[in-house]
Amino acid sequence: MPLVGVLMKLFLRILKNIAVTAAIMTSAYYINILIETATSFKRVEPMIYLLAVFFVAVCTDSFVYGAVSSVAASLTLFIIYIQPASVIGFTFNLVLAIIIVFVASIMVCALTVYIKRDKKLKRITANERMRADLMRAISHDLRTPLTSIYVSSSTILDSYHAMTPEQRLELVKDIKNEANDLIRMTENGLLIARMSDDKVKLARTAGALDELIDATVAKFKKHYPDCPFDFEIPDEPVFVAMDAMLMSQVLSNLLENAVFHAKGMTKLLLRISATERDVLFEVIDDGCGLPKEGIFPGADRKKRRTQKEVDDADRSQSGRHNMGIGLSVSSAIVKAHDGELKAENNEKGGTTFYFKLTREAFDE
Amino acid sequence: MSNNKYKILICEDDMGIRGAVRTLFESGGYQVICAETCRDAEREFDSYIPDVVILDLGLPDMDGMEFIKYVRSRQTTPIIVLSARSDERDKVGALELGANDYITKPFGTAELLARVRAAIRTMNNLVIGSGQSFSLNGMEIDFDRRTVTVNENDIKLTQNEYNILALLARNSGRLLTYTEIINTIWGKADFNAVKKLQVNMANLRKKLGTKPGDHRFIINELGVGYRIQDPVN
Repeated sequence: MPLVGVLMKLFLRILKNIAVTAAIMTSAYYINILIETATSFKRVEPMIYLLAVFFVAVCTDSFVYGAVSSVAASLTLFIIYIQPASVIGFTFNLVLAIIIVFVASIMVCALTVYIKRDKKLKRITANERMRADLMRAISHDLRTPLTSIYVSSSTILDSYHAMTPEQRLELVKDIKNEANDLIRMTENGLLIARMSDDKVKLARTAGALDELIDATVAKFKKHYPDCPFDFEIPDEPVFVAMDAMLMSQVLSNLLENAVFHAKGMTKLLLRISATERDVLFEVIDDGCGLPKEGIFPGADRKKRRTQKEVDDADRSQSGRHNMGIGLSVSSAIVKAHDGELKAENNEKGGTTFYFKLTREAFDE
Repeated sequence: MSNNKYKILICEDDMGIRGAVRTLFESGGYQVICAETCRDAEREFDSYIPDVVILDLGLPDMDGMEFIKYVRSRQTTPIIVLSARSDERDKVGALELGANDYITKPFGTAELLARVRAAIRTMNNLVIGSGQSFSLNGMEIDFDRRTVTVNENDIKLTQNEYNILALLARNSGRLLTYTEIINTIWGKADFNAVKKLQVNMANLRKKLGTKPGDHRFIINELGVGYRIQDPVN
């Protein structure tokens, strides 16, 4: 029953917080005793307790523990100073000290809690912003092929009789190609939506590398038969725990990126090599290489791109599509497989995109 | 002029796709019946008893799966399922409920025609290869002697490899899921079964001389299963 599980979790959490609070406050108590007996410092207790309450606020999950510790600390101070003193040594300063400790510690406690909540909110809004950025980039990408489809079909409708059958055929072919691109973009977009759920649980089953490559290569060759493409895979059977369809999408994205963006490419190589523990995937081209700036717009949280930056980057890319979306999706999928997608320019020119996945054993 | 045509029931809510597919099959000499929702589909199915059903998994009123169950409880009519590319689990689910084949959108018209023809052939038990031999792109399988040759060269297969190949060939044009193949060849599926199957397929491909990506004989539908192409008449 899930309810029992939730209650158990809550109970354990509360227990942990109580333990932490008790540990900190008890340490403070003994530190005070230590200072009292071992050194000549006097009246250090208020400051130690103030510090202790601060630590409790930082290390626990709720305002409650800090508040309780604050009350406990003030009471302890009261017992130490006021109660025994009653007549001798009773000064107004001491009372003030206790009040200040109480108020200050409650405020510190509240502040800490607010800071924590604020951080969490910032993270959520950062995610929202990233999603908005991606949506903007995707919508921006959709405009071009849609315009092309609209123009082509309008032309056929308006000037049907003035065109030769070959011209009409050309335009219809264009419509088909652009529609195909739109489909690819939509698939990537859907993948992004799936990936950006915080705790994405991928269904990873052990899949044969052979299968993955067979399906991916067949699809790639069908769409790009003229591309100078080759591949190298290990001879022995290799298994990787993965979502085969997503991995196929990643490889397709990387290969297509090379086709569209590696200008001057004469060779495209998909190379997969395996050691006992992992499998290294490399997509190597000998084209124009990567520009200096970051190429993973979605994955780069520190450098938030404004709409102008997205547009500028887009304009500087020749070729039909913004490389960013395909790479963002691929990066996210590889990350969900506990790998990391990286890219480097090759010494002899061109680029290599690569990532590593863990190998699965297979006992026959 | 005889009106003796095969009947196809298309269940698809998108008007554009429906219209295009209707035109395609009517010009191919089939009679086409259309339905937009599962409820309509059930009604049309009962009145026309079509020879083939083409079903879009994303129908608005009812899960397409329910309609597959509806058909299967009454007839063995071949069902071809249309699905969006990313619905891997739906595809397998549909196949295991009794659908015969699936096509992902967007699909080529030639592909759809071929699958429908294969489905009709299956229904008529005119599966090429239910006889003594099977021939495709230079590969010849002799079912009686359990031999396989490619371009006249003998191919040495293990027992499992031959059984898998023969199973696919006898069901040419039809997609067989991992589970179907595993259950037929090994009787039951244990947790290692899919890996075993994939290793066998890899070896089979190598022995047949096809490098990865070459779908001359066996076509690999990632995550779902395998099929052998229907030899063109």
